[in-house]
Amino acid sequence: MSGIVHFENVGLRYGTGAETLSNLSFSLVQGSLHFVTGASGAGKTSLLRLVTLAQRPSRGIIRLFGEDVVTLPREALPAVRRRLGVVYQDFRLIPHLTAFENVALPLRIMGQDDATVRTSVSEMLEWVGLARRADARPPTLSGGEQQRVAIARAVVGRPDLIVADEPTGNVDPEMATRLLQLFEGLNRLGTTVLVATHDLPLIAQFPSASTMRLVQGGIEDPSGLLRHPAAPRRTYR
Amino acid sequence: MSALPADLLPRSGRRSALPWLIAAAAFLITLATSGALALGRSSDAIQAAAAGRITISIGEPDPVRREGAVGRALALLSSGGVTANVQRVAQTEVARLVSPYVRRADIPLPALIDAELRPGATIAAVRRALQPIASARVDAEGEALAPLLALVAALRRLAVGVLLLAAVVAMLVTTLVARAALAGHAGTVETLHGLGATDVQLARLVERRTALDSLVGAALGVCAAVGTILLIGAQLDTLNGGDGALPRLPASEWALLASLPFALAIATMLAARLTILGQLRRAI
Repeated sequence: MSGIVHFENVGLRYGTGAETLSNLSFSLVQGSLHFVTGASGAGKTSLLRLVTLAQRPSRGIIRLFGEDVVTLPREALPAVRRRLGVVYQDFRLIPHLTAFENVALPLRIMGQDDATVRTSVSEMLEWVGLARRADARPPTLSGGEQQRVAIARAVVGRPDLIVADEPTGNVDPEMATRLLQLFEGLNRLGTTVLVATHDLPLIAQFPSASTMRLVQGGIEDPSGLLRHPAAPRRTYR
Repeated sequence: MSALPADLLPRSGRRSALPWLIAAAAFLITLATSGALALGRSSDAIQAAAAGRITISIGEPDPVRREGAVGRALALLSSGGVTANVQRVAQTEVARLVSPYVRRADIPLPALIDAELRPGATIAAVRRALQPIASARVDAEGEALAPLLALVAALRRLAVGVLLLAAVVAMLVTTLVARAALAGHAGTVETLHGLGATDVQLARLVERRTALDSLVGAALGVCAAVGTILLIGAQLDTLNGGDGALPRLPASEWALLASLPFALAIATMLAARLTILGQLRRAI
């Protein structure tokens, strides 16, 4: 079965060193919620870079939304990226743009008209509780507020897949739970969500999600559920 | 359709040096262009004036025989059908022309006859016609002006060379500025790529600004150059014999100079676009 994300014997090597990721094979079906966990240096961020097309693998096959993105011409990658919503570990907000303009970026990149941009961005800022900070620039926002702007930016384009790298790393536990509840809410609406975190107690609060554990660049998947997913929103512990 | 914010890749704190560098290039390009145009027109004017003009010199030391030869030459030229406006240069005029170089009055001077070739006629035909007069020598004025025309052509090539060099420098400067702009915003560019921005969308952010900087710089440079041209022209006009060609450029050539800022802006915009696209192609 080919999922919305499909990895087949994927390996990633930086330079001439040992493989950072090796023999990754799994599929994530549409509408599922997944956590990627593992110790620091296990390869979580590298895995997410492959999923978000920030990096090409050294070997193997990666299919996103049915497209083989390893062999896809470079010119075709932006269209695939527009179906992704990415929350970066360091937020990557544009510091000189307002929160509103940061959230509006994916829509402007897609070429949507100003009226749609205004409506969608206002709704999204309302949804993350930042409607009153729309004109604030990122340096004047708290860590949690910046995180929510980053999430709003990732979600505003109604992506098919949301990828978040340690999205709760800079916020207090209460905010972390609230942020993940936002992801869970999106997942209920049918969006596939992939979250990398090493916060196991937090993961435990979302029993309906499946978890893949990275160990030394490989995936622990003893039950084979990631390789052969049967249905969305399956629990894998 | 909404566009990406124009200030998405802002300038660094310092003002860009690009407008001033482009202004310097535009100044040189305008001077070189107007110089090339004026030299081209001067060369055409000289060639047009000299075309068909010939001079027959009768180098006969004996005055009586010289006058006889002149008479026969005038008769042959007038009846041969190859020349027109045949006119003898007065001997006093010949003496006046050579007086700066020949101080002695006892040296016999040649007799000179000016004429114009009829359309289609050649200098060889004139030489054939004057073959019976052994002391007659036929010279084309164009031949005498050949070194001057060669100098004008060389100066024109030099002007074109300066023009091309300044244009290349302007493009190289633009390339460096575009590269620096991209390097200074590597993080933002990576984020925008991650959000699905195409290379062309990112290139537009830089090229728009580059075009504006170039337009401002080129307008400054062209204005300064036009002022210089007018000043030089006014000074040439005050000189006896100065042709004053530069300020009297025809309207079409002034229009060409006026279009230079726009042409430079478009060229630098394209240079910026190609640079950015080339740089971005290295990313995934």
